[in-house]
Amino acid sequence: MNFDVIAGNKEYSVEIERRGKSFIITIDGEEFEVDATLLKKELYSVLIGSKSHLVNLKSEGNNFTVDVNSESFEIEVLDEAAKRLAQKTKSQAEGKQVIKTPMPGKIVKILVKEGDEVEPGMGMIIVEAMKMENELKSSSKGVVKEIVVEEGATVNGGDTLIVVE
Amino acid sequence: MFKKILIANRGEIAIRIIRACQELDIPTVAVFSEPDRNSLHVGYAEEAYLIGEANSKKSYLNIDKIIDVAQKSGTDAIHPGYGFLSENSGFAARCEKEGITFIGPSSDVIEKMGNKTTARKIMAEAGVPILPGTNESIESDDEVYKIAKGIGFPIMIKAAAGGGGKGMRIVNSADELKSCLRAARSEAGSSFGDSSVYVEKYLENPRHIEIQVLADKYGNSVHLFERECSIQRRHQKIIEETPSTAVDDKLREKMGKAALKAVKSVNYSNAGTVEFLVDKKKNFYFLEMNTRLQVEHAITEIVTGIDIVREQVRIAAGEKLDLTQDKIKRNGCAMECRIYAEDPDNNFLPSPGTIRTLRSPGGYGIRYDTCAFEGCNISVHYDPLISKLVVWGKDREETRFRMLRALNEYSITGIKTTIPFLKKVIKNKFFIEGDIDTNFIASRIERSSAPSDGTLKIAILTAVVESFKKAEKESLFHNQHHPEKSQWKIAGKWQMWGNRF
Repeated sequence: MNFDVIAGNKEYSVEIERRGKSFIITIDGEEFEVDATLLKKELYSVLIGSKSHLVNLKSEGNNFTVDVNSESFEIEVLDEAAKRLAQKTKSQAEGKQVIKTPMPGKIVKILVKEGDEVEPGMGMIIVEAMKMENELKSSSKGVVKEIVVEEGATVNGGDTLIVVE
Repeated sequence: MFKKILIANRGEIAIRIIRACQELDIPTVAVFSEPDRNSLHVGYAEEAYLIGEANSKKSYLNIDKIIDVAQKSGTDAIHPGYGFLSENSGFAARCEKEGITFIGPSSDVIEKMGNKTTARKIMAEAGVPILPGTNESIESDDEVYKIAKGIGFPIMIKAAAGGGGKGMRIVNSADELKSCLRAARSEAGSSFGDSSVYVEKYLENPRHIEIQVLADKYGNSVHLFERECSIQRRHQKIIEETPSTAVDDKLREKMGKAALKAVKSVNYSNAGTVEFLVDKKKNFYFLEMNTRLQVEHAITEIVTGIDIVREQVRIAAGEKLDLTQDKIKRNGCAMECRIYAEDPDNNFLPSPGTIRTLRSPGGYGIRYDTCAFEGCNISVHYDPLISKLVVWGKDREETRFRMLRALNEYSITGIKTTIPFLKKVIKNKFFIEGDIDTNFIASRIERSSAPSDGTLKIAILTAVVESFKKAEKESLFHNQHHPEKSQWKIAGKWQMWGNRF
């Protein structure tokens, strides 16, 4: 069986087949023998060759959150049908950056105004949460298109604050 | 001894205190806010009372409500833990007035030490070295500018009522002064309800080393050596260890004596911590006195064998200190890592949420103090500390390797934590050499390193196996699926069989 795997910004071409209790998996031509067994909710013991790992894996459709060696990965595994669907939706959102607050809090200060040019890493807005002031930064170059909130406003986690294009 | 102790706190520290009380055979009373109904400290205490809404002003900082619960439950002593009301002299005074013992120093001592400028004045008079700066809080920007010019940039602006790194800003030049003052004042105001600030000379790359003290009500006092607390982010500690690699026997004795001078100068009683900044030439300066239990007290406990919380309760109950300085010996080394719900790759932004899975470390030399469990919520309303991982070793390297081993065993999913970052620090070559200062995280640790390729492959392989198994199951299900033999019917039959037995 063939999958396309997207992890980080990279794509990997993966093949998998059963061999006894194990699987033979190739990632971009590199071969691995893998034995993965579920110990309890979301926890796998994974033997790759004979190297042993404890891996936490949570799945939501084609999307996986995998925690191993204190690192966390967001991985998308697409079969042929899912691949075609993903292609369609992808091209739409490009070039647009939406600054969202990751948690509920209060807007302390807005550091940019609409029409401002911003550079990656530039401070955009200060949000106070858990009694700490946190500066949210731009991750790309662009122009501030819209500022949705006002200073002093209370926001919920996931709220859109600023849109950059 | 007390009949009943109320713990005016939450989280891991509430549990820590409940444990000490239970070992002293004293019943405990927990208080909790609405979202904390599901918190572990409620379950561990003998009694528990709802005291208000999530907002700590309405619950854990609500003095009237807490006093009311204390009286209703027949409590004769209150342990404030750290944070919240622990350094609130008004609360201590109210306890004194109501005839409830506040487990900590007296309200007037808290007030003196809580006001950082008053504390500086007292320490200077007692002969404890302090940094150049002001002993009064300052109102106008111009005045700050004048003082800054006098002692020279960089300077530090600090909240007069402050602590815990809040309301604190380093100012490198005159241009930054205005914005730093604004930020420090607004943070001071929102954290302590007092926006006054003072100025101190900023010491470049100092170490933060503190001395733990215990003093009874009869003038007896001892120190329990130092804790090295230089590994900090946002001026808040994340790794502490004892002994410090910078402190030799001579310096330890000098700092210990200075700390006890501080204790005597205000007639301090109960547990406390005198914090110092130490420069490269081993000069040390009084920073502040924490008139409460510290987060990192456990490292001192495991090298000295002294249960500090137990001592706090005994001292508050009027018992005499049965320790003398010469009887206190240090055995080996200890290190603490604080595990916070924070995203180290995103400037330690809090990462509240539900812990989906949790695997905690264990084994020889490990002490694990936590309030977390699988499925628990790390709330946006409170400090995002999940746990304290404390390890003991006979020397620093054994301790360091044990910490690394424990961090490798430790897994939390569902929210971001400081675990990967802590591992990076423990493995850092400057940390290994003990070459650390308060600027360590900014100067020595690379922020966002790309995840290792090998680890990524493990993740991909596991995800692919899971995808494959799912696809297999689906095709099996589709092939066998038949209306008359639906899975529900099969389950129903099983159920009937089950009922017969």
